[in-house]
Amino acid sequence: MIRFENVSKTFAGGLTAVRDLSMVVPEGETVALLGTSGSGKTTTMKMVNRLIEPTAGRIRVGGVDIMTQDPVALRRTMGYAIQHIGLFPHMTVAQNVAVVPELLGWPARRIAQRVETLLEMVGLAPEEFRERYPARLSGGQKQRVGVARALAADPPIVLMDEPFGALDPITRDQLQNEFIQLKSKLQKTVLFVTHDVVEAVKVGDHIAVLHEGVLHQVASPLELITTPANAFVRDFLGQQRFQLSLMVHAVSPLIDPSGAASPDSAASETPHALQPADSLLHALCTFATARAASLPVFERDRYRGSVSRAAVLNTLSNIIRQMGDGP
Amino acid sequence: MIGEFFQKLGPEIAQRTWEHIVLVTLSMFIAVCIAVPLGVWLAKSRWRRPAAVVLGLAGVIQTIPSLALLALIVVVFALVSLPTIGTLPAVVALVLYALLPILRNTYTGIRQVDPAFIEVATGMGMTARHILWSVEIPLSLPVVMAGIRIATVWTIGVATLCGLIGAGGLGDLILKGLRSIQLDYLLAGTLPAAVLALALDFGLGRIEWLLTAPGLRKV
Repeated sequence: MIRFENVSKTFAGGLTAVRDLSMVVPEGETVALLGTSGSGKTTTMKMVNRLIEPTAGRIRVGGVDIMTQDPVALRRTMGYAIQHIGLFPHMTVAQNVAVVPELLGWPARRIAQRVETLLEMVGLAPEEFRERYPARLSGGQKQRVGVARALAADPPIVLMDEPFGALDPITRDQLQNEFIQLKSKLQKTVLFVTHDVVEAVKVGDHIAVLHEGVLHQVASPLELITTPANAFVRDFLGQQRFQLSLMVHAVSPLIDPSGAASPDSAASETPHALQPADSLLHALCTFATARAASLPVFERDRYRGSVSRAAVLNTLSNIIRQMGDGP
Repeated sequence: MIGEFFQKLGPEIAQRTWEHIVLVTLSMFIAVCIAVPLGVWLAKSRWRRPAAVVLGLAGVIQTIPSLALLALIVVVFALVSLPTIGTLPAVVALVLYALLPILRNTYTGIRQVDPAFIEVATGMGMTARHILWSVEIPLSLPVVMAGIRIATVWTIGVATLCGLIGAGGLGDLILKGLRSIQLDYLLAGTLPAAVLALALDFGLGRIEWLLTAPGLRKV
């Protein structure tokens, strides 16, 4: 758990990058720090591993004030991934991933095994990629290695500074989805810096909106979209608010359990099945390709009921009406 | 004719070439030992002033014509009663002359390492020493080596002047050719010097290639 207590940072030049920020990144959850450039989001993140030291306030990690800890030892307990140039060009993929385990003095055998496991975990075949140099990787592959490196020593905390920022939209979308799967499996405490609202909504369990060093709102994606705290947050979500609403509302409230009898085929064999946690956006896309009046919903392999197109469209018009009445 | 040439000058060419190699190798070794650590220190120093002073001074030495520098050292050595002929004054002059390219390339090599690499290395928990040895030095090595190569080629040329102060080397043959207006002596001094420059540059190029991490190699 990371706890910020009235943290401020004023640089030597007099610029205040972060102003009296208090928030909590709960154990095992991901908080997306969302803001434009100059909002103080990266400064906030770098204060956690002491690349930047706060000028006021306190940051506690696992209850301990980080200023009382040795910065080098502290950093080795935190994974760190940054945008595109993060990998060392003179080291192979394996050497890059092994940086922190090497610093921690792990035996060579253990390091080799760990590199193997991690590369597999991020979807890179070890025998193909281990000995490659970053210059011979695509943008997406580099980011995968970057994620593997951040997780190398199995740190409880991971700091990520726009890790998917430099990628094309398709690769970014794919890596975000894989990252979501990975983090639900690994239960890490993640601080994820991004300027992209859609990315924040996708990866964040909570979203912290920063602007000019001031924290405007910390909320779940659903809460942020449906009840923005103030005019700034509302403007920031701006044009994308409708799309975001479709992303944060799940289909589960729309399931009609009496709608249809249990179909004879299992979920895996039904081409256009939904999960209760799927978003309205996903449901709309599925309706568009399935051209059906209703779709079956499965939870894992268990049939839960069906969702009708009319119900989805009805919710859409409710969302549009609510947005008109919003603050 | 060529056979005659070698019969007459062969042993002397071999002798003078060997002296030349010793002179150049010794000077370069000393120059590298001074300039590389100094360049690293200047680049890492928190203060900008020493770097400006040292690089400026090395630049001034470079602007002195090599012949004048040699003469200057002989005069200074005479004043403090150090040997004015032979290897010592020659090596001192060659070292001074070789310092600048190595120093400047080491300094800029370290300084040009993208600060983002330093930051990410720090963020992962590397100490300043780790960063120097496993990030900054490997990343700046091609630039440092380029400086050493330039300095070596220059030193081979300047070392021919050391024949003037009795330090031997291929300069002796050139001077002999000049005094007696004999083309064969002139060629016997010049050609090996040129071949030596090409060979050492090639050899150092190979060393540079071997030392450079495969991920940074251009070819």
